[in-house]
Amino acid sequence: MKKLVVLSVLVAIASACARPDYVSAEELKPKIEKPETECPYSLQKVQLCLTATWEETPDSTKYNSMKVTLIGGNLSAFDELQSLLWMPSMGHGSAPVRIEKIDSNTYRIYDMYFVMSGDWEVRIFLKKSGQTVDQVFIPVRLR
Amino acid sequence: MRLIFLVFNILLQAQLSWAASCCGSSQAFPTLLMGDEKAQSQVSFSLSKITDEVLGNGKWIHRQDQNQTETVKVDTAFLVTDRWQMGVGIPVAQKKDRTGSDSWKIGDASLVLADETWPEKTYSWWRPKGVSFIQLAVPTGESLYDDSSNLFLDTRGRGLWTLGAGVAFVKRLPRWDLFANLELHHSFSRTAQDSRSLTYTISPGWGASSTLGIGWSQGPLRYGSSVGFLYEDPIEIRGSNESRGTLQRNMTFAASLSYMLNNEEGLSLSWSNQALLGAPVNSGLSEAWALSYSHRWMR
Repeated sequence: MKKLVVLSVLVAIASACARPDYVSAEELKPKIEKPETECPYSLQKVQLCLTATWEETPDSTKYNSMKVTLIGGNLSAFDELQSLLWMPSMGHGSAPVRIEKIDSNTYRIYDMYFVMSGDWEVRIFLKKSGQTVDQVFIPVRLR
Repeated sequence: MRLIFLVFNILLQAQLSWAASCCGSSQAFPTLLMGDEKAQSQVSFSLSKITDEVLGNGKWIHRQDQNQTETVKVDTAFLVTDRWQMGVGIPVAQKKDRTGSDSWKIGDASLVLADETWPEKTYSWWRPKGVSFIQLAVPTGESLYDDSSNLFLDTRGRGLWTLGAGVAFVKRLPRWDLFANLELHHSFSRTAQDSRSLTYTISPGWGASSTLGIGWSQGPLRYGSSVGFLYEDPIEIRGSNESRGTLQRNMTFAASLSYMLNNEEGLSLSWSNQALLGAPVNSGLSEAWALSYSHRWMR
């Protein structure tokens, strides 16, 4: 009987052990570009397409930057592009990013600092006269 | 019997405990009086490091940065009447990570009001002593919702008012002691501003925590271990920014060695790790060492 109790305790302890399922290196590669489609991120309200390219592989240990291009003939549908970093699972953001307009339809988002590893979103908002007219969330998983 | 002893001894070497021998597990809940004290105070210094981040889908990411948090915490509990007691816990912490280090700042304070609901009036070999309590977590520490540096280096607290209620039990035997607690809490909504200075509403929900522990004493020494469980509802965000959130869940496995200097003072060294047990979700898992000194005043 005592041996049974001891065995039960050992089995209970063993079954309670954590089983870490680590994210693979492949899963950490940025998957924001979809070269197989002409419109990786569709902004249907303003009838524009958005493409995004990381300038380097994103990493939570450094400042990151990405280039964003809006494609379509309706560029006058917005007059300002805003962006922030957001961690949806925990419900918080990160440091403010900076945005540089390179030409009429291309922007560079930089000083992107993700304060921790995990699943984040780069949230991009198109605004017209201060009102958000469309938005797109680009997911990214960071080591 | 030897086998049982061996199993427990292995566990005790590898897990937690908080108290020293004579006073059982009174220090398991430093803001609660679980023995015959009229007051007690504990000062602890802990060093912790987040070793892994667990995502909302249960996937793990190993942290490779040099994050570290040093915390000094003062916990005091005292009798208000023969039956009612109060407790206060105030942490002060310093954080270091890849962006640098920050100065010592206050964390979230906790206030406890407890009632000795199940006293030990007569001897019983099995009946434990029990206390019921309500606990208020006060967001005195800067949180990730109001971080001034935006790098989270200066965050020390959850940023949420949280009210909870629970029960704690202790059973002391000549060599052994057992302790357990169960607590339910609710965190209240508040507003904050995102990095564009737009306002959003934070809606947390219910949470629960529980601890089960055991200790074995020999003279002034006590070996102990415990397992703790934490659950938090998803934190929903509405307003300028929206997200539904993911529940948070983790378990803490701990071990400690305590030494009673005399009948009133004790020292304890403890180690805890959140990456060993259970199926954590949406949590930063930490490993911590803590050294504490406690003083109690008997009735």
